[in-house]
Order: sequence, then structure tokens, then C-alpha cells
Amino acid sequence: MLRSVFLKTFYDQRKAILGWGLGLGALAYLTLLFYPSVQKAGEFYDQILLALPPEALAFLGNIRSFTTMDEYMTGSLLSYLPLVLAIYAVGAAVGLVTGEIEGGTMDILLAHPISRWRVVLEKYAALVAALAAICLIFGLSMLVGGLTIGSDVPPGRWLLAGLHLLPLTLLYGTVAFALACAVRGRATAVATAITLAVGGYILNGLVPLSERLQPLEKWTIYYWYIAGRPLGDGIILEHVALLLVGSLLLLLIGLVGFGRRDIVP
Amino acid sequence: MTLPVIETEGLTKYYGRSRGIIDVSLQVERGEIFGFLGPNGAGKTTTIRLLLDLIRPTRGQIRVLGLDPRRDGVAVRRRVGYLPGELALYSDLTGQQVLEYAAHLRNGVPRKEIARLADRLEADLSRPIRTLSHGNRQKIGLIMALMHRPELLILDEPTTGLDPLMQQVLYELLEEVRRDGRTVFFSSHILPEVERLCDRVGILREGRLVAVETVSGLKGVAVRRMDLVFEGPVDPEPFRAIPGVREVAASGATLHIAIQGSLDPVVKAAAQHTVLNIVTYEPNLEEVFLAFYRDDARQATDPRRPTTDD
Ligand SMILES: Nc1ncnc2c1ncn2[C@@H]1O[C@H](COP(=O)(O)OP(=O)(O)OP(=O)(O)O)[C@@H](O)[C@H]1O
Ligand SMILES: [Mg+2]
Repeated sequence: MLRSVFLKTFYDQRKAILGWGLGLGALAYLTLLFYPSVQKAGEFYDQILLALPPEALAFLGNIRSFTTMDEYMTGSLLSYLPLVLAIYAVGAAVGLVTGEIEGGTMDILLAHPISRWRVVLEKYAALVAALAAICLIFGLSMLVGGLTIGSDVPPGRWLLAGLHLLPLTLLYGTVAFALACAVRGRATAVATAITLAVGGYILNGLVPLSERLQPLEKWTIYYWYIAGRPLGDGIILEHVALLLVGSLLLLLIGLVGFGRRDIVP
Repeated sequence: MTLPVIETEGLTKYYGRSRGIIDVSLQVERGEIFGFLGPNGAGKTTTIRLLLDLIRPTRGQIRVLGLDPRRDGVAVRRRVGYLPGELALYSDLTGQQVLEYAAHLRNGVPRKEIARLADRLEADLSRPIRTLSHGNRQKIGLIMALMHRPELLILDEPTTGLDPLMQQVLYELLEEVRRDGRTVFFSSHILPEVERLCDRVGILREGRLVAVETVSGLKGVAVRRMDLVFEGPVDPEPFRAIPGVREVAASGATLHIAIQGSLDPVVKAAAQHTVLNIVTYEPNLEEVFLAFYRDDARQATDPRRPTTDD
């Protein structure tokens, strides 16, 4: 575990990975346990949904009913889960870089024969791996929940739904990571990433209010996630690719920024 | 002639508008122990962090082991050992684990060398860093800097936190490094350690390198204090006339004298009376600095000396 920057960084995340993975997983499991009774009382819940204003529905992923598994899980969990997971992604991303600079250990690390870009890449790889692990644990929990209630959703779909969280949360995390690499202090990185995540989500909720807001939908970033439905019609590969390319470009900014900066707490 | 191990030319660093160092031109030769002296805020740490490419110069050139630390940083750092002034280690790891990590980052370091250094420094490698005292942490940092037997050691105030016994051990380790023909560059506030170890010292004041001297040269300009205890009261006037004497004060049968340079003329003058005792005090760092500041001020006001401005 101390063989490389990647392994050490990943190992340092082990408790967070388990905590977040199992915590969100338990939430998913419980949510699934309620599904059979909600489905039975389908009409009742659908009446509630119908009574809600359109922007409220947009916050829940624009679902119309609770009677399909896709709409049920999206409305009760998957619509807002990326925002919750973004708290981990942003916090971890900033900690990996700024934490080590402010703590003073970056001095020691960079005094060894390892290039700055290599440090950035290995730390980023550890962030991706940690997030992927959380998503996977979350997906596995849904799979177990699905089996428990005898759902007919194919097992692979549950895992897919877990991993589908990754590109969006990774993008939020990468915004924070890149800024933490390039700019001194935590404030800029955290504020920008959280604004982007929360702002995009709120904007997405406001879009149904007016025709004029419609063109903004694609700029919420969140849209590239919520339009894909791993438990329903399937994910949209172009959207996933777009989110991943966005992260890649941001990573480049982080690499260049970290290479140029002074290491000062 | 061999290339200097460290060479800076007009090295300048501003942190935004605040001064770090200005126009530092310095050469450290292979096989020497070079001491870097200066009061708080003089710019010692700034210079050292520039050498390691942790911060980038505003102006000026740096060569370490003949290489540019910015362009060939990995190659430079493979051959350098570094101890930061404010050492921070991964607090949840044990000393052993920290060194293991460091060794991996260096693609392997002989275990025997780590064990030897830990033994010499009496370092406890089994405890988590978090539970170690400042001095015991410092030992881990020193092992990390020394364990790969680097050609060049760059140490920022290495003895801070070490007890006198361990300071002696460190001095011995550094002398061994020099015996191997390797080079040590370290910053310090403590004159006796500089005197004991260094071949040459550089003195930094307010970001500028005001002198590079051999240790005997440094002592030559230092103002030393001595007390001459005579049988009875003695006229201080002849002592005031001796070149190098800065100050003479009489109290009863004792003369308190401050002198720069050789003590010989004072001792000769004293021999004309009956001397009961001679007490000399080692110059302290402050007095050495003061001596340099005086010289520096004199040079700065000397109209024949070209002045540089920036
Ligand atoms: N990160 C920073 N931002 C702004 N100014 C700084 C920074 N680091 C150092 N300085 C300034 O640069 C000057 C030199 O500081 P430096 O730390 O190099 O001194 P030093 O000789 O190592 O002092 P000390 O003996 O206290 O360790 C100081 O005036 C300090 O205020
Ligand atoms: Mg310092």
C-alpha cells in the first residue's frame, strides 16, 4: 500500500470508500424494500406526483409515476444522489492536493525523484478509483436489494446504475481537483465545484418553468446525467463520453497549473 | 576544476510584493560543508526551497549538481537529500512506514542503511508519527534525507528539536558525509555548530547575501569579549588605543574588553601588569552579525565602491 503515490492515496481513502459506499448502499437497499408496497398503492402515489408542480418533478428527474422501477428509483434516490456523492468527490479531491500542501507533506513528497505531473496523475487516478469503488458498492447494494424483493431487473443493470453515477460526480470532483492543483487554498476549488453542482441541479429544476429557459437545459451539466436511465431506456453513451472528456480537459488544466505553481501553504 | 555542486546567479524571489531573497549569487563546492546563516526572515528557507524547485525564482539562475532543478528536477532530486525547515510527515503512519514509502519513491534504498541511521540516531521507527515528540520526528526526517547516501544534502535547520547528544550524533553523521566527498548545505542559527562543522559560511541579511567566508575568516571579524582580572586597578587608556579593540570598561581590578580580530596585542599589553585571570567569551552569533552589518554599512557608504540598486 506504500508502493506508490497511487496506492497510498487510494489506501488513505479506504474508510471513506467503505463509509460512503455502504451508507449510500444501505439507503438504496431500504428504498428498494419499500418498492413492492409503493407499487401496490401505485395510483395513490401517482396522484401525489400529479399534484406536484412541474419544477418539483424536474428535481426528481421528471418522473410521471412510481410504478416502474426506473421512475421509482430515479424519483426517490438517483436524481439527487450525484449531489450527495459530490460532497465526497469535492472534499476528497481538495484534500488530496491542498491538504497535503497545507499539511506540509507535499514538501517531502516533491523532494523525491518524482515529477509533479506524475504526482498529479497518480493522485487523480486514486480519486477515480475511490469514486468508482463507492459507485460499485452502491450498485452491488441495489443488486442485493433487487434480489431481496424479487425484482425482474437484470443484475447487470443495477451495477450499471451504480457506475452511471461516476461520470457526473467525477466531473464535479475534477473541477475541485484541477483548481486545487492550480490555485492556492481550498476556497476557490470547493466554492466553484459546489456552485456548479448545486447550480446545475437547481437550474435543471427551473427549466420547465419557461420555454425561454429550455436552451439552458444542456448547460446544466446535470442534464448529461439525468437524461440517461440505466434502469429504464438505458444510458446515453454520448452523454457519458461528454462528461468524461470534460473531466479529462479539466485534468489537463490541473496538470499544467500544478506544474507552474509555487508549493506554498 | 570541478563544477560547483550548487550555483546560483542573481537569484531573486518575491512572494507577490513581499521580499524573499534578492540577487543571491552563491557557489558551493563539492565535498564541503557549507553553512547558511541569517536571522529570522533573512531568506534561508526561501533559498533552499528554490534549490529544490518547490518554488520558482522571480529572476536568476540555479544549477544543482550541474542541472537545472526546474527542467531536470527528477534527476536532481534522485541525488539530493532534503530536510525541510518545518518538517511534516504522514502522521498516521509509523516511522518505518514513512521511510518505506520514501524508499519506494526512490525505487529502493538499502534497508541496512536505514537500520544503521536509526540506530545511530536512536530513532524509534515503530511508533506512529503522531505520537512522536518534535525531536523524534526530526530524526525520521533526517533518516529520510540521509538514507540513500545522496551526493548533496540540503538541510534546513537540521538540529532544531534535537537534544545536545543527538546534535553531536548529527554532526558526526555530517562529518562522515564530507569524508565520503559528498556535500552538505545547511542553514542554521547556531554559531558553535557552524564553527564546528563548516568549511565556509554564507551570511544572509534581509534577503541579500552579505558575506561568504571561511570559518576562520568569520572568527576574524567577530567581536569577542574578554575579562582581564589584575592584582589592582589598571589604567584602561592604553587598551583603548590597541587596534581592533572596540570597547573597554573598568570595574575595580577588572577590565571588560570587546575586541575584533586577534587577541594577541591585548594579551601582550596585559602582561605588563600582574594578571590574576583571563576570561574569554566565545563570540555569539549576534556579535558576528553585528560585525558584518557594520562592515556592510561601511561599504555601502563608501563612495569608491560601486553601488548596485534594484
Ligand atoms: N509564503 C510566503 N508568502 C509571503 N512572504 C513569505 C513567504 N515565505 C516567506 N516569506 C517572506 O520571505 C522572507 C524570507 O523568509 P524565509 O522563510 O526564507 O526566512 P528564513 O531565513 O528561513 O527565516 P527563519 O530563520 O525564521 O526560518 C521573509 O521576510 C518572509 O516574510
Ligand atoms: Mg526558515
